[in-house]
Amino acid sequence: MTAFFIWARRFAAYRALTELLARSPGARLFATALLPVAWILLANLAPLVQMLVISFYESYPLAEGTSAELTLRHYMAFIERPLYLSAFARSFIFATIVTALTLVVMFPVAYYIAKGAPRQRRVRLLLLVISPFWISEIIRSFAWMLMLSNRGAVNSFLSFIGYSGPPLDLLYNNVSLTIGVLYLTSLYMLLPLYSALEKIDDNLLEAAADLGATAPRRFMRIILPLARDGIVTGCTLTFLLIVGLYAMPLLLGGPSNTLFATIIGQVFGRAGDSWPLGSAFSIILIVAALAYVGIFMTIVQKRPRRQG
Amino acid sequence: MIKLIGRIALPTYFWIFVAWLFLPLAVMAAMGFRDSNFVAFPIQSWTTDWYRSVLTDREMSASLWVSLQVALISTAMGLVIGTPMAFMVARFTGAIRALLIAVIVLPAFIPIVVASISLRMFIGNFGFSTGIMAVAFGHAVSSVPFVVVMLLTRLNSMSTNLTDAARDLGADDFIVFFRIVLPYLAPALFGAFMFCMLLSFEDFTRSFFLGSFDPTFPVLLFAKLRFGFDPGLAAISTLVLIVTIALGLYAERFSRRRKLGNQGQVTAIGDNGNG
Amino acid sequence: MAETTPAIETRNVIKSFGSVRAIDDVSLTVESGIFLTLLGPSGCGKSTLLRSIAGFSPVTSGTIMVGGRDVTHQPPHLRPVNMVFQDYALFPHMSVRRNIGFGCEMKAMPKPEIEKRVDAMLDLIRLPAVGHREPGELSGGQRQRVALARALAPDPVSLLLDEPLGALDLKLRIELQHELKSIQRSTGKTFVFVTHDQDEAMSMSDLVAVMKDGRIEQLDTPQAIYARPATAFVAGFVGAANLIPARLAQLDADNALITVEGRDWQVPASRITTSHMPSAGDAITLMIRPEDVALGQAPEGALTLTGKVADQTFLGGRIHMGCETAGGTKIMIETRPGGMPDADGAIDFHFRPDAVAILSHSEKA
Repeated sequence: MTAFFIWARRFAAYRALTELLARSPGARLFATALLPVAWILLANLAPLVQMLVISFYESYPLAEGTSAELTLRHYMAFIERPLYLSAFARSFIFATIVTALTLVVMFPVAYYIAKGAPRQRRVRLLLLVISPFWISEIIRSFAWMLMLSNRGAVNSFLSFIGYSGPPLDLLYNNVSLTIGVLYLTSLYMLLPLYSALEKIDDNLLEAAADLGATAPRRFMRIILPLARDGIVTGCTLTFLLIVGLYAMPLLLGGPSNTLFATIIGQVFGRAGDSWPLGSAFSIILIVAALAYVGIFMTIVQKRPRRQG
Repeated sequence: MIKLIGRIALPTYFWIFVAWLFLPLAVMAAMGFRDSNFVAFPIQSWTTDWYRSVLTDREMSASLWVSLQVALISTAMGLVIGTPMAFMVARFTGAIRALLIAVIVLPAFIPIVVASISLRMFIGNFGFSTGIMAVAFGHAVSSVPFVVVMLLTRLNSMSTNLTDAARDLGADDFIVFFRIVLPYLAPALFGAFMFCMLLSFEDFTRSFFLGSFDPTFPVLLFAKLRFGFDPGLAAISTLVLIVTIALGLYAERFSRRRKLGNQGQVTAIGDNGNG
Repeated sequence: MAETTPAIETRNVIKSFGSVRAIDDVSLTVESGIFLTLLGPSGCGKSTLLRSIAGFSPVTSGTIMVGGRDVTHQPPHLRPVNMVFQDYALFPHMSVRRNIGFGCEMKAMPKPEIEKRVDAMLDLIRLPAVGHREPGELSGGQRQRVALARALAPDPVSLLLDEPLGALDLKLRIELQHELKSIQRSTGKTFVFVTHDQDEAMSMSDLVAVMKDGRIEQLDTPQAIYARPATAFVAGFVGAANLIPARLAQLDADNALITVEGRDWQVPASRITTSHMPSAGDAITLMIRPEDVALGQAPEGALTLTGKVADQTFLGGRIHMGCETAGGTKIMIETRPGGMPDADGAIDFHFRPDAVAILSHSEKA
């Protein structure tokens, strides 16, 4: 590699280029930023902008030779059809509840790894808990289907210990969906919580204990405030993940558990002319989800920030 | 009393959680050995036929091959875009840097369904249709933020004196990049590579909305699961699971090793971090 | 005497960051084979000047010549100077040999020649056995030596050393100071060395340039800098200095008559070390080193002052005293024990005319 560049030096153009790059920070920045900036514009921003525009179109793709007619019809459809509005509300309520549940379930886990377990075992425990998350959401859904189905592991265990009634309907309802989603989101909660808790100085807890603070008091006054950043990040990630779920509700949820993201996906699955409707719903989902998360963040972080 | 909670309740809770994590996976692995066409418990007779047959299943191996292609293409794209992007971000400080990072990580905050669909409509503008390349593009969009963040962490630990020293000794910017910067970033690049591969391999939603007739493995599995399941699916899922976890653990171990190996050097440079 | 090309020459170099001038009109000539130290407090512009010579910090105006060649607009990789960094900046993923050979490799030297050169360098730094190790496996002192070898290997016109010993502990520093000096002598290379440590500068350098606020206050041999500082800042920076306000009463070619605390005193005109020659009637500052202040019987021509001892510290063979003169000037004295103050603490002390330096008053630090 080096030999190639040294060989290239015999060409005046190469020398001029390298000299320009070395002398001018602007040229160097241009050379590094060209591709990334194009990517940010084209891959990150443009699709969303296009979606926003399409959501106001009467129809899309446009018929040959016609110009776009703008309308708010698709946004009105969201408000007028109870089916959509209720799925939207269900999505947000479900996401809120499961986020809170994930936080409650994962906090002790994160606390144990960060503070409870011996220091030299932390990495290993963390890896143990992380490793199932490298596999697909579909495989994990499947694993839970095997657990919860009528002739699945749980029912079979129940009959093994003497239960003799008809098999329990564990699958395709809110509970199975909640369990599956929890299985999916726990990592997104664990990592931010862990990194926040890990930074808490042990001496701080000991000092508080010395000063006579009881355990619940130490938890409320010291651990919780110091873990706040982790809680906020974890809840934000978890909430956004749940609100965007498509496949898991179809696999583990029942027919009455349809979530808004699934509806959006199905709208696009239909004929092309419903794209504007789907785009409008997508925009509603993004704006509502980010606004919801933003409000949550401002409320939680209103109190004075902690000192380094 | 409090001690009791700390000593017993917390570890107990933790191990129950771990059991909850792994029990379904173990059940799935066991189901792959069931000697029947139907999924049911208890397993009365065992067979390894399912595990053997999935390896010759055309449809399954085709989808795994599609998944692998998508993962390789999207990872290559993610690294090629993400690496200069990390350099670009590293150039800036303060508000500009924060703004840049915000637009770069934007895809991670958009609900996945919406992100996939907007991409699908967008590539239509250029006459691209759904298929392997579209899926790979979608995966690259989602992996670039991770590449940038992982590389930035490593870049921040790199003293500018290192590149200055190379330039001072006669290296032009290309040589500095290939001889100094890339090798320095190697552990992070490897980590990012593995992470992108895993991310792409496990993705369902983007593959589902951006793919066409060649399904990736998760998409094929999804389609099959909607119409019922047999022990064969459990077998193949278990195999994929084992390979995935093994690769993930290897990547973690590798990047941790490298970090420890360089620690002496890093701290020596770190001493003068503000100089 | 044959004219030789200076190794490095800067002409009216200015480097501005916004409205601040980090280098303020510096013209400096470094003759070939010289060990020159840029000495000054942090923020005085010494490192910026060094980085400008290396090419990392483009100058706002002025000219930089290296080996008689104008390099002002050349990027660092084309300049025939090599730098030694304080944090060593060894490439962590290359062996010591690859590190040392890197510069030669960039000069497209043939492989066998590079190997020979690397061997010679490893011998020079007396670490022949570490070639195949990685920098992470070396001690701090070893890394610093390897960094030196790496900079020397491509045979640059001059070596630029940016506080290279700053990260080492005192014992190792002193050891490496000697080694650096002996390597400089044996190779005959020009060294431009940056430090804020005056002892380091004094013990190693042929010439010292004391910098302040982006300017060179004085450029001279270490002995001259110490004994004949040009400004009160230099006097104070390179050692402990007593500064006594005085007035120049008369001045002729040979002698100056000055008034100190109401007493007239004649000193040789050659003791006027400031570059701005004062004229009769000007306020001046008298500089005297603590060790040049003596107690006891004053010899002919010496000036005697009376002060009150404020504190004294016994240092074994010497004694350190802090006094205040009748005129309110604080004087530090470092002397052999003897001539103790009387009961009320008053003490007479004196100094010889050839031990003082006369500075202009306006330059008082």
